[in-house]
Amino acid sequence: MSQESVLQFKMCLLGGSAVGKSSLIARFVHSIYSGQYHTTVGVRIEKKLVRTEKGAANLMIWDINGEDAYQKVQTTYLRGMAGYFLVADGTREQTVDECLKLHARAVEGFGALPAYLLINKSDLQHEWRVDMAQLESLGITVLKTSALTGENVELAFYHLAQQMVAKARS
Amino acid sequence: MVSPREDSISEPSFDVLREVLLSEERHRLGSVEHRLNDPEVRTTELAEVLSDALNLAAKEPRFARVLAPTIEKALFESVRANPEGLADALFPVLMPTIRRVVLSLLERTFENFNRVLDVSVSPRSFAWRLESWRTGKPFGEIVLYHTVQYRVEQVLLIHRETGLLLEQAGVSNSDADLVSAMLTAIQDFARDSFQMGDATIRTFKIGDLTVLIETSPHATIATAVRGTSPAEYSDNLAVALETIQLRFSSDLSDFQGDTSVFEAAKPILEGCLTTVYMQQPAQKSKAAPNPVLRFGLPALGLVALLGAVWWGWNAYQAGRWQGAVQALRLEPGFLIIEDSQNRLVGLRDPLAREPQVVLDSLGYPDVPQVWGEFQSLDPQLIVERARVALEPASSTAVELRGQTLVLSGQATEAWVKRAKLIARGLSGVSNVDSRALELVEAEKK
Repeated sequence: MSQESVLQFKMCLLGGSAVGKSSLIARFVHSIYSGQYHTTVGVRIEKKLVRTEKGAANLMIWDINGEDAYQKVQTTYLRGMAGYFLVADGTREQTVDECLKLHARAVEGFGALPAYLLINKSDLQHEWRVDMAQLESLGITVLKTSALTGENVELAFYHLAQQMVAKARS
Repeated sequence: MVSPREDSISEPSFDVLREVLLSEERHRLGSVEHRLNDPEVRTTELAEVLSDALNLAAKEPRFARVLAPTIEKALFESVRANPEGLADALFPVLMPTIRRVVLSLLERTFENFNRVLDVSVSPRSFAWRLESWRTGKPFGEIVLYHTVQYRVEQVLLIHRETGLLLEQAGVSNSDADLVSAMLTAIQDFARDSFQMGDATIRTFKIGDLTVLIETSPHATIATAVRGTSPAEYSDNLAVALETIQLRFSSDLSDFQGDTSVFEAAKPILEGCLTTVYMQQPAQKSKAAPNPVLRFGLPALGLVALLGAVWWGWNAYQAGRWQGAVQALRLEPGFLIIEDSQNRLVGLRDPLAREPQVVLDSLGYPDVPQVWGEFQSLDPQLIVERARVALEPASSTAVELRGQTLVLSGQATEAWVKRAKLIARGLSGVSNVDSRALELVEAEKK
């Protein structure tokens, strides 16, 4: 078997404040839930090697600060990304709107890239204020995730990595 | 629908008209078409201007770098097809090159050996070990601090747009990709925060580590430098990055995550790794020695030399004097009482040789002398004294055996009687033996 070639990708996590982006990364990268809310100032970068059916990918995961009234995502941080997650908090409806605005900005600035909308905090589904059926019609793949239980976290990264590899090799 | 007017002009007449009006232009157009369509003509024309075009292009600094990959490939193909050709061509330059490389390697080996010796057993190394013990820092770090002017420890080649690590050289770091991404993020942050447009951070310091950053349209080179690097080093980085940008231009602009192609850039990055040592203190002292050492030591040496000469001369003179005194002591009829180097004091038998005759025979110059007289009992002088007192005839022999004066040969009876009387009064003589004498008549004599 020939030596495995690993492609390098930059990917970003975008979304409002306190939706659980950093916790998702912590769950994926370290496989332990940090247990506390983590506000990132600016950007934090982690890495993870993911092996998919299409090939291996070394993900440089840029955890970009939350979008709210006081902080605005710097578009320059998104430059060169090969794919991204939009992360919303299922218990706060406005975080989905923020994601959609960020998505529109990303598409406008960088074209159509592999992307997923992650509705986080599925462990608190009884408190959810979002309508999943409505979200399906937005034209972006939606996944329910929980940084606490780990639900769909690995899967989401796996699918995004696979799409990025497929796109790079096409 | 065709108009009657157009219909009335037949095709042949139109050709004739065109020939009349445009014959010259058609001819020139045909000639140009021929030049463009005929590969042979094009090749000939290109060959005519190729040398001039190459000459003109060679003035551009980028030309050599653009041409280099093609020439490399051509050379590779040529060597593969016929290795002897290139070997023959290179032979005249190959041997001197090999010699230079071997010499340089040897010089570096000796230099390293000297440095290892210096670091491991010199007095300085003990001072550094003390400093290491005192500050709690590793010994290696202390040595580096004192001996290295600057050292480039790590070079990272980063894709500018994505911040992804393309290749690295130097100290291996498994998190170099994270460092690359963070460097890019910091660049973005600084640019946006200070609204600097396309400007980039060129350098920043962390402790005694300096990070130098050079940026091209699609790539960034970041180097971690310990110590203080000169400005020329940044120029070298810029040249290295320019080379990479040119050689990998399309790979950089169309980068899709595959970094394997950039392995070819590793030698260029390795070229940026360098260690520059400080001038050795030993060399410094050689260049500007301490004035005390410079003049004091030769003066001290001269004094010591003069002292040694003086001491040697004195020892030689003393030896000669002792030799002269010893010779006088052995000479019959001398009794030395004082033998300081300035004068001689003693007793001398009047029948002994002149003292200066003895000294002259040893090559010793005249010295002040004080001599008193005495009678020596040396047998030689007793016999001499007896001859003076007895006045023997030439046929009479006188000698001393013990304290007995032995007379032999011929003598008259009267002389024998007188001799026996006188001899008994001589110092050192107690008997006279005349049995070996033959008495002769006085008349005969």
